Amino acid sequence: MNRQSPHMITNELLAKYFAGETSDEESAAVMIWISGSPANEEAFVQQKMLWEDLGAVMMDDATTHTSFDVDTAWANVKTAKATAVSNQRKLESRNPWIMRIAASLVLLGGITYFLRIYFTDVQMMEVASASEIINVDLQDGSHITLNEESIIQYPEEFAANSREMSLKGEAFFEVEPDPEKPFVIHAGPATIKVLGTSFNVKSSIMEDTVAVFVLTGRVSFSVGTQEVILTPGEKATYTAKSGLLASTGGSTSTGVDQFWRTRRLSFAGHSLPDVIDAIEEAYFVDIELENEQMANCRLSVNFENDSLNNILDVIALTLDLKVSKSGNVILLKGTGCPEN
Amino acid sequence: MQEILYELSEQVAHSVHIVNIADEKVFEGIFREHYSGLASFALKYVKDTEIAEEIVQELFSDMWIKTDLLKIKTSIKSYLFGAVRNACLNYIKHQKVEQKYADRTRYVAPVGESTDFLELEELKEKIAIAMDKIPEKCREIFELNRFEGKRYKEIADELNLSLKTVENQMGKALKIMREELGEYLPAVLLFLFLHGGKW
Repeated sequence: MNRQSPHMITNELLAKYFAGETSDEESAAVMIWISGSPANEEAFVQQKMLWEDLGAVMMDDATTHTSFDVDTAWANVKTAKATAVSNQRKLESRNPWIMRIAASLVLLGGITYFLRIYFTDVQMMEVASASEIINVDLQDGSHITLNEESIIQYPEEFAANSREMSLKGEAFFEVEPDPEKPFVIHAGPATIKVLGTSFNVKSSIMEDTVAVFVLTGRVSFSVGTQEVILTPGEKATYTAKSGLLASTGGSTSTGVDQFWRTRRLSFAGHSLPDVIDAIEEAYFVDIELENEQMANCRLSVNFENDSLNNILDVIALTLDLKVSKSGNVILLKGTGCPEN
Repeated sequence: MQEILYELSEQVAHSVHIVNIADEKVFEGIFREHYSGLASFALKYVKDTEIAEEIVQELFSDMWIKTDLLKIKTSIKSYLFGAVRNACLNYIKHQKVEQKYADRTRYVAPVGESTDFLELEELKEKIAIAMDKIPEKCREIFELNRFEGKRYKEIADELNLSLKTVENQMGKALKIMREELGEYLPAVLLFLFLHGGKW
């Protein structure tokens, strides 16, 4: 392996590792050393920080130029401020002991956590789902279904004139009507406001989007000065990259927007490409059609709690197709259908 | 970026500035002027645009929520870069353990009335002093790699040295920098630990 014992490491090897100049074998030796003891890990992290620090502070970087969207960034900061103010101020009075526990709970990972963050005057509740869907009942009778990998924060007692909360990830809301207290959700740069209805909010950190889909009632969806009013069956998406908030309706009739919650897909004379789009979104797979003729095929069928394989089998049987997999892509083969 | 840093080192102020960030116009002006520079700076530490932007935005929103008046020793730029640096170091520190939860964890330490951390100005001075402790040839090698981003092989060719010598001298430089600058890093970490930096 290497002349270093697991308990020793040379400055030379460490510098070489930080510089990205080590061979696989040398990198492995560094990894073994790090995992040797917490003290080693601590020493490693400290030196890595020193290394990055020297580079960042002193490095000549005329070569790298990234452009940033300052307007969106400013909108985010304003939203954060607005959320914090309405969530009832003063974070510095939080009990640091509680904060430490909050941190260690986050570290548990994989496990759902549910905790109270203590403020001077308002107790904040936070529910985070890891790999399961969670139902949350609010004190006003409203109901939230929180998708996997999502977080919702809300005050234990709502304020006198509004019901505000913040969401990261995706959730379905069934809101108890209360004209006196609008129900307001902050999701990234977006604000979603309703009086009483059921709707779905999905904010994606990875894609920098916020999407709202309304099942019943009327919902105001706004980002900065842009606003759309959504009615049942309508969907709108805000994309941070373009800074645009736009109606994206369409695909909702297959139920794919609610698939995470209902496990249902329903097709009524949908074209095969539409069917495939829905399945791809629901099951996180890539499906391709062998020939263009197949796009003429139409399908009417309902699926509930079905496995991907079952669904593909049913489609194959109905339209006389063959299913084959190559790598991560599922390929549908067949002669297709005549134009109609 | 470089331009900003040079400007910073020219602004040597002796008094304490007070910036009224409760005034939204003032605050927005500061934000718009410095955002891109700060995000590029953070990017050098965290190597991920999204995280870099998140860190800078969080710094500003925290500042805005918790502070009305900022007391700053040198310049607002120097102060902001110092604060971003702090947040980035904290990010690196937590990166290993919490990679999965990166987007859920806050890395920005609270911004109080006083500037408990090193402003960039002071830091650059300390680095310059530490660099002087490195023997000349060794320093040259270290600077070529660390400040100009040259690979070991390029440095060896350029200075007509063996690869082994470059490796060896880099190790030596790291050791000296650790000895000279070691004392300020733990101070930063202790500060971050005591003041949380998490929700």
